[in-house]
Order: sequence, then C-alpha cells, then structure tokens
Amino acid sequence: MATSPGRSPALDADPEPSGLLSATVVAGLKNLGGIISPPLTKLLIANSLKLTLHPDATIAPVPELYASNAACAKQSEYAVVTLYALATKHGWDGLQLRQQLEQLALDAGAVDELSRVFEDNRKELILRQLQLGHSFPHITDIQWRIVCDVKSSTSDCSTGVANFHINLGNFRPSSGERETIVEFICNAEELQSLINRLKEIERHCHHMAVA
Amino acid sequence: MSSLRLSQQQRDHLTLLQRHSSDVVELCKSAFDYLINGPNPDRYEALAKKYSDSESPEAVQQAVEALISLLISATTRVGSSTVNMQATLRQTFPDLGEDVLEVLEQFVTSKRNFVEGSIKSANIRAYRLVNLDWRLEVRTASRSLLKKCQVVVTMKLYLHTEPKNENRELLAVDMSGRSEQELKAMQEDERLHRKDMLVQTDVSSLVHMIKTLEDALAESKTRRIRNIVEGIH
Repeated sequence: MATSPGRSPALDADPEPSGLLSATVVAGLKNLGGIISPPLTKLLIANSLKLTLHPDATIAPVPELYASNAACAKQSEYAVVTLYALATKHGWDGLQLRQQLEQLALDAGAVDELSRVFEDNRKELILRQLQLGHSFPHITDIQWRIVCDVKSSTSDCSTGVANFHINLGNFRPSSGERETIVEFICNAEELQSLINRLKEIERHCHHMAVA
Repeated sequence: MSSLRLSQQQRDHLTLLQRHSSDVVELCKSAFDYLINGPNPDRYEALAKKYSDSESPEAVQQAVEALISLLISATTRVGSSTVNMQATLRQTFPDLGEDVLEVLEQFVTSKRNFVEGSIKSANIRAYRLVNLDWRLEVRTASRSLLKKCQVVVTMKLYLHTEPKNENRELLAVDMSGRSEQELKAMQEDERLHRKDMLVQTDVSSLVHMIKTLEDALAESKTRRIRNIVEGIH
C-alpha cells in the first residue's frame, strides 16, 4: 500500500512511530484543518471514505474543494484513503487510530473527525478489504428452472423426465447486477446427490464451529 | 403403427439381412462393435468371405451402417417401451423371416438405452455436473487484512457435456492395444467435452443454496409437474 520504501527527508524530520505512513501521507493529513478549512476537511474525509467503500459510486463534484489548492486537496484525499486502508489492514480500533494521529501533531479537529468517521465505518471498511485480493468466483446466489423436452431435432419423442437447469452466480457489490459463474443441468437423481454433498459440507462446517 | 423411417439406399444395403439368422446375429454384433470401436474392415472382409456369394467387404460395411441407422430410427420413432417392436419391424421388413425379425428385435431393444441417451441430448449439449470436490478453509491473513478469520468453502465442479453417465461407462473401453494416435484423439475429445470450475462460497450462502435446491427438487415432485411431464410423454 502506501508505505514508502525509502527514507525521505520529511520522514527524518518528523518520524512516525509505526513507520507505516509515508511522508506524502503525513503531509496530506497535515493539510486537513489547516490549508483545507474545517468544513472542507469534513467533506473531503466523507468523500474519501465513499471512494474507498464504493469505488464505482458517483461522487457529487465539490468545486470549492479544488478551487484554491487542488494539489493539496488531492494529496489529502490520497492520505485519508491510505490511512483508513492501513488502519483496517493492521486491525486498529478507533482509539489506536487516534493515538497514531496524535503523535503526528495534526489539527485536533481533523483528528476528531478522522477518528469518528473511522470508528463509524470500521465494519464496512473491513468488509471492503475482505473483497480485495485473489479469490475464486464467490457464489452467493442460485437460480433454477425445471425443463422437460417435448421434441427435438434428433428425437421425435420426449425423454419423459424433467431436468433441472442450475445457475450459480453472484451480485456485483457496486451495481447489484447479477453475474453468472457457472451453469449446468442435472436430473432429479443428480440434484439429490448434489444436495447431499452440499449438506455434507454444511455438516462439517457445523462440526468445526462446535469444536 | 407406421414402419421405420429408412431411405431406399439403406433398405438396399439391408438386403444382406435376407440370410440365415446366425449370419444376421454376426452382422448385429459387428454393428455393436462399430458403435464402440468404429469400423473394422478386417472383420467385414472375413464376413464377406464367409458369405462367399460375391459380397464385397464394402457391402458388409454398408449393411452394418444401415443397421445402425435402423437402431437410431427405431429408438427415435418408437419412444415408448410399450410399443410392439416386432410388429413395427415386420411392417418395415415384410420379406424377412420370423427368426431374423426376432434377432433384429433383440438388437434394437438391447442397445436402446445407449442410443436413447445419446440421441436425445445430442443436439444441445449443456454441461452436466458429474462430480464435486470440496475443501473447507479458514483464511487467516491477506495483504489487505493481516488479521482475519474468514470461513470459505472452495469447491471444484466437474462438468461434462457427454450425455449420460451410463453411456460414459459403456464408452470406457479397453485402452490397451490402441495406437498412440487413437489415444491422443480420445484425450482431445475428452478435453473438449469436459470443464472443471473452481468456485468458492461462504457458509450462509451454502445454507441458502441447499434450501433453494431442495425447493427445486420438492417442486419437481408435485402432482402438477408430474402431470405435465406425463402428459408430454
């Protein structure tokens, strides 16, 4: 993430105890409540959080945020996103975050706001970061239909059995749009055997939880 | 009951059936062998020599192929097992003797399941789920979350486009004595019809999946669905 591999002069001058936050991030945080006024700081933190939790979301443009000092505002946005990502990664709670920020000699109002917003959204931030990284397609939804053939190009008569079309998929967290992961067909016997296998997994999960 | 649908050419090729029933049995056996292993020219040559009345190995092969057409036609047209197959065959081949018709009936009915499974799903082959492997995992750390405890079920779904399990078993023939080229072609064919998928889910989604699939199965057993399926059949 935003850990600076090299030691910049700014970091030497103002060392950060945990060593996690780069000089750029620290400088961005110091702008809050200073170069960026307290009301705009609040707005900037809210927007940065929204951007972290919902990268696809449309954020209402706030021209005044970038009107006077666009570079500082962008650096501060980056700093807030990085701070929250690192705090979540290392499992800090609100108090730990506050302690880390207090050592950086930031504006008191900005520290309060950063800590409050983090505390209020800690769960969402953890859930968001659980989605990052590599994993296999995650199934959260299952759809089915029962189909019986009447006639086909290769056979004049029905097979006389109902088949199940099973579609496994999930919903995109950003848009809610459904995505198919895999689709297959099976007969009643095969479906029963699939249910039995899934129940077997569930039973093992239950045993694990009890143990 | 109407006669079976065969072209004039196929009927001409089947004139070879106007022989003793033991010869017809030989031809039917060759047709079974054709279904599993493909054409066998040496066998047809031997049969042609045995008949010794100016039959060529090509004529024997054509008769074998026409028998397979007969098998497919019988399975396609005569869906219900209650239909009198012998009556249908008699109508199709009025010139053949009773003993030959009996052999043909046996031939058509004994491989019926094999052919039925293949032709009824031959046109649109969707993937069928044939096996499922699973692993229960607890993810304890990742780059974005150093301390976590996430229970994940990883599953590997084995999907085949081949029509039915029983056919696959029938097709599982002896691999020994096959040329490298044949084995390669078989592996290629297998690769084309198989797909393995790695997916994951969480425990609550798993419970939801089980519930939904049980609903589907219960629905299929309702009187309404049974009536519709029986009605169509």
